[in-house]
Amino acid sequence: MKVSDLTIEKINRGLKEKKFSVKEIVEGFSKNISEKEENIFAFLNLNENTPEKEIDDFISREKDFPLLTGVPCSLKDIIFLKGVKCTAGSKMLENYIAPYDATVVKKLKKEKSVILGKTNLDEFAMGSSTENSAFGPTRNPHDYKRVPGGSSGGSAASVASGECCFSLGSDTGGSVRQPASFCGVVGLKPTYGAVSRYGVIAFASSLDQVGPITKTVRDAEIVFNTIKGKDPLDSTSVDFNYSGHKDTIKIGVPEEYFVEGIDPGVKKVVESVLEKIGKKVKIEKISLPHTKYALASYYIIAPSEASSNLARYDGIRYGFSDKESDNLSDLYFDTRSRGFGKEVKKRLMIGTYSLSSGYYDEYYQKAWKVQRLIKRDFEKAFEKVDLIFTPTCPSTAFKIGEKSKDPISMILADIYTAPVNLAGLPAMSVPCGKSEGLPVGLQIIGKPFGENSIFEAGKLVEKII
Amino acid sequence: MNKIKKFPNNMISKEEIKHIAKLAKIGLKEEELKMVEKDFSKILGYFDLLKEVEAGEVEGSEERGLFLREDFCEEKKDELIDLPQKRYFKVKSILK
Repeated sequence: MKVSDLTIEKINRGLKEKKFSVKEIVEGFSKNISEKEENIFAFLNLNENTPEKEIDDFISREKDFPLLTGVPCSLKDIIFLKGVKCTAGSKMLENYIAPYDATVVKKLKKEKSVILGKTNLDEFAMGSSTENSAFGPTRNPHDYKRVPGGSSGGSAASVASGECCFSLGSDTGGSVRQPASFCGVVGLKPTYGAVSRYGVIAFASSLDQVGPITKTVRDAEIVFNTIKGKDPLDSTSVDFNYSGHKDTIKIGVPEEYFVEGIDPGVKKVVESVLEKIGKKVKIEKISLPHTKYALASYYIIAPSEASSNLARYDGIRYGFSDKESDNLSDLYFDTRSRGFGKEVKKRLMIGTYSLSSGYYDEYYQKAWKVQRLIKRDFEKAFEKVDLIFTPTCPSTAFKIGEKSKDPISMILADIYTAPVNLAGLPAMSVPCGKSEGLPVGLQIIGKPFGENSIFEAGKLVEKII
Repeated sequence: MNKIKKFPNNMISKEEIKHIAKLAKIGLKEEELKMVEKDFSKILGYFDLLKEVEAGEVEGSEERGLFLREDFCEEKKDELIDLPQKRYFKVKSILK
């Protein structure tokens, strides 16, 4: 049985019709893992005690069970799975055991999804290539010489290579959508507040969201419907009635997303898809005039919040602790100097700088003002259109090492995704073709809590291409 | 949009970097210091983009709002972190 072709609904149907057991499904994916991991390195840690026997017993007793029952998945190693190591891709948490389940994990376990393991990421989710993992880079299943994107690169690679059916990642500036685009799979960043972050290691709390990485739009919809909702343990989470979607929609395409900086191959693929969609749905040009300032704003806000969130790694309460330090002050310095990698240190310094006296108004305050202008751009656009279509990334997957020397060129990989986080909107990357053999993603941006409209449009894109 | 070369690199002194590192409680080796100095200048140069934006008329800033809930107590025994000393953390001496 070729498990890598199975969607969530196909697994569910097969289990209901007794075509196969959960044990067989898990064995199929485990076989892919053992064959492919040597080249891909998507997983940091594999779950040795998967409960497939219990679930098969459960299925033999029950006529009806949830869609995710028995469906194997992976989790970005920033999401707590109780009793299992959670490293955040950092030496700092190399041996840290998660003391409880994240709310999203509780929800997956309630539906009896099978968690196969924890996936690689850029350290503390800071990066766009998974090269910043303290444990080595993940490789793109389409070309081992290339990055899978990041920071949820392990998650995207695990789905794209058929090592699991779906994965959960986290997205602060594009970390679900960009790797999904590079690996040719679907990635959703839900509306800010749609999904609980309890039990997810914090990077930038006003931007972070957990989202699914899947093979199909329908799968993303199923996983989203499972993990969404208000959680008393995450005060920013909200309940929302996601009823229905409009049948006739208007799509906006922002001209600022197709100017210089975009790879001509990516532009060609996206434009040809838009042309095809234009035959079915009304498309109009829109303007998001503050787009070019979004990344600068993002790269001040996110590191500023990170510098505060990562202050907790002090050698006392979590993970790594430098045992040779003489006094408390040395312990802080030694632990953080040895525990954090290069990129994390750099971003913590940028954040500290932006928040320091003398620069607070010039950088941090200004960044939030710009955030407001960006949000207004989107609000204005959504008065005229229902959804916005853009490329997910300006390029396809780049080569390992190609961008790690220049900090700005790496930042630019997030140019189409970070504005969406600043505005708190939902957006999904859907594979829409290939350029020189590498996958290209189309980003569909929706109104707040407009996930249903995004899914409908995503299914249309899947049909058209 | 990606034209970044027209923005000059902002120079930041080694002393300033050391000061920021101290605030962030990060010790940097000489080679790391060099790397950070180079990258920092480039990144700050990129941030200069924001100076172009007329944001004076934007009222205040919109940091994410406060979300308050009712205060209540819930016991979560199984979720407690496994402290090495069970009930307290042991730290190094503060005074020399």
